[in-house]
Amino acid sequence: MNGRTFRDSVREYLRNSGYSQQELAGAICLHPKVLSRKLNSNGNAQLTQLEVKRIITTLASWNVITTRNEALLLLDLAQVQPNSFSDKEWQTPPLSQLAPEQAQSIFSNGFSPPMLTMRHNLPAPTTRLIGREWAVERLRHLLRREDVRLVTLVGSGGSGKTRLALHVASVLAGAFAQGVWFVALGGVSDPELVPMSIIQALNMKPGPRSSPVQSLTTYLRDKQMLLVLDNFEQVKDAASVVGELLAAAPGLKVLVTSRTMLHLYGEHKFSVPPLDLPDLDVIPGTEDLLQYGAIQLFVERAQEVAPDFALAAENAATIVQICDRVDGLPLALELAAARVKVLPPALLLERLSEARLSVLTGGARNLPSRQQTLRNTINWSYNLLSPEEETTFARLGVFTGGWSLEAAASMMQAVEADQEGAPLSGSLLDMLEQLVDNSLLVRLPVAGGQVRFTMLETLREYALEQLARQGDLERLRDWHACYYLGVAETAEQGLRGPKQLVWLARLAAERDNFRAALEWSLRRARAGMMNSRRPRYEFRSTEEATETAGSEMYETGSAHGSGLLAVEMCLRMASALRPYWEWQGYLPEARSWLEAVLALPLEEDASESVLAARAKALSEDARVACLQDDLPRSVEMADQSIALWRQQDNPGGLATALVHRAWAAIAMDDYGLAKSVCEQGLHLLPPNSNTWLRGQLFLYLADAAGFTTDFERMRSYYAQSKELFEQAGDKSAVADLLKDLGGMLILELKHTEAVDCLLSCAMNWVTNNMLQRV
Amino acid sequence: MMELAFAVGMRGEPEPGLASLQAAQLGGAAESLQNAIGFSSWMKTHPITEAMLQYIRSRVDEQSWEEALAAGRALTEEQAMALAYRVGEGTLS
Repeated sequence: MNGRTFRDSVREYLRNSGYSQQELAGAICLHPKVLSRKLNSNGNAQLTQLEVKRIITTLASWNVITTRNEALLLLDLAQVQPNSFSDKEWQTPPLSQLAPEQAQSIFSNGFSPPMLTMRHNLPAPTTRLIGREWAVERLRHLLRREDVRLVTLVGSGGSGKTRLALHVASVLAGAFAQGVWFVALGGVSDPELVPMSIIQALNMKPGPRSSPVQSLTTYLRDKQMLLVLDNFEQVKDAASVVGELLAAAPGLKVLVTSRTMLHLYGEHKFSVPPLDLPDLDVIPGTEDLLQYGAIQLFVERAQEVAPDFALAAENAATIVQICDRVDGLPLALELAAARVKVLPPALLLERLSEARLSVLTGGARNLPSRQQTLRNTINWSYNLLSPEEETTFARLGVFTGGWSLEAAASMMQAVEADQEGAPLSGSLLDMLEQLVDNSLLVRLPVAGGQVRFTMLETLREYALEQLARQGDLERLRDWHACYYLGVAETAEQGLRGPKQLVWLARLAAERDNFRAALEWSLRRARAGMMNSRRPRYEFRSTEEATETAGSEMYETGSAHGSGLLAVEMCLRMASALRPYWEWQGYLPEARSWLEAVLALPLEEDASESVLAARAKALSEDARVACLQDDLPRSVEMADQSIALWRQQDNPGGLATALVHRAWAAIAMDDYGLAKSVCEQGLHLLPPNSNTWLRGQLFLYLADAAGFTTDFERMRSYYAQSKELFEQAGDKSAVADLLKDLGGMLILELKHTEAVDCLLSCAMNWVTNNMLQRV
Repeated sequence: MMELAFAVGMRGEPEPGLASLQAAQLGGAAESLQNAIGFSSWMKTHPITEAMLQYIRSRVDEQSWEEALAAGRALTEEQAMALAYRVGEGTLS
């Protein structure tokens, strides 16, 4: 039997899974040395058929192989017949648990073992794809060709590019060893942020000191993966990034949706046309009509809102005309069909015709005809809303990438209070659902325990236009920035408490909103302007506020209604998001925002709250610099922060800066200084206050004691720190502490205790889904 | 993970050579994870742990050590955690 390639595969599987040859030997009842000879040597030692079968069964029982085809491939490589496993064996675990489908590599050059698990982040579709069968088939073939690595789906807004790309990606998910990954760029307006958005979609950790593009090329270079970059038109200057990634990663393919091409070498354009329409002059019977994509989509969507609706001989001509009127554009068809609930088809057609006339005499005349049609339909759909719905829809355009019900409610309250207008007559949720029914909004899966909504980018553009026309855009962007500052500061505390994973999910869901708020405030701050409004809600509960290092000032520093300076807002927001960025490993993003906000000049007579915000940002930057091993900067920032805090009466802020200074001191082996600054910090804080912060101070005191072999004190400090973290409910901090303690126990030569402690730490990470902290 | 690698290696059970290879595998996994995340462990540079590393490494031949290290580097986060459990629990049993 020629077992050479079989041996290669088995060794590769073991290497990738973490199992050892010794464990495999034990599982198949062979002496490890015998198995080693059979798997590693070129001599006469051959695996028997029974041993091959046992190896495959063992790999299946360890979930190292997960599909039946992987088992068959291994049998084939070992030149053993598939029927050497009886039907009964195939039907019995572990072989019966193998999935029937295989993640087959589409790259035929060279041997590549299938991945252990297939991965993707594609959102689940809420409706079925209609009228695109041929397009899916052609794209599938195109993307399977070895010479095709970049395909751009080009089409006007609302032509269904995203939906088509998602479907094709899901069809191809099994063809890429490392799966398919969807990167939503609708909420990204700065091309510079595209690499970071890809990193976040891949849920990978960028290198601490590498640029995001460098991190990506390193990560992707040996991966076989399909990236779907959605809504690329607004970040088209980032096309060169796509080119760089493709050049660096031979196993990478990219599917882009955009209104225009990227104009890169090797780019394949795929025009996404409107859905098929019948000829208006020769209308076929209803069954034949339903073969047309446009008709099918209209009828299915109409039936979703009006279950009694049916295509019949009496309404067929009208429906064909409606579909023709909107040029078969999927988004326009959905908007029109959503109205069938209240408008019978004949009336719907009449209204659509009137709307087109009014729009054609308006500002849309210069648009290409298909965009004109879409705009016309959106306008028509918008005008059918009640005045309250119209206003709400336009205002919701201020959110980027989605929003929670709470955020929408808060916005409505703030605006109404400001305008002294009447509150909403009905429930906001009902109104949002109504807008969902009208296909103007999309309901998202619940994230971080919150109901969430979003709107398609094309509709958001329209909403923002309406806001600008009403003169509300700037004011609402100010509100948006204030609101998300509040979320960030509450979340900063939340990440240190018992619900830290819920907060982590919320922060991740609001990523685009934070960026938009930071960009807006930074722009305002650079222009020397003031955010005109304060959010009309409490930033956090007072109970939490008393526990917060360096943040109590926000409640007292500036009076409500007095206006919050944009510079203070930027500093506070970047500081508040630092723990989240650190948790996710987004250190380059943290560094870049913190540096940008710290570069803002302050007025000579800057208020105390602005100075406090700067002091906090300096100390957060010290933390990030230390994580990146940039110790000189870390020390410089921490020292500046300490000096600034000393000018103010804020023990919590000063103690936080001292914690960060202590950390840098430990990293530089200056344990005496670490001990001294931690003691200063503890001296500043009353015993029953600042639970979490005192926990941090004791942690670094313990580390410093451990490094100076003062193990008795070290244990006492760790115990005090652990108690405080447990009081605060911060499981992540407890795990960090156990890791430090485990390290110190090694120095103390207590290895068994160290293993025990480190396993507890690992258990803590796994049970709390904090693998990223490993 | 790096800490666990040292602890397992220094403990040297159930058999010193195997413990060294397990330590190398865990160390390789820790190295790639730390490179990815950005935390550089003090254990890599501390004089005492440097001496420990030499001791753990001296118990196996160069090629086996390098292979185990490479195998550890190739692991995903999930696989590395599974390895940590198996090795850690095996050591204690």
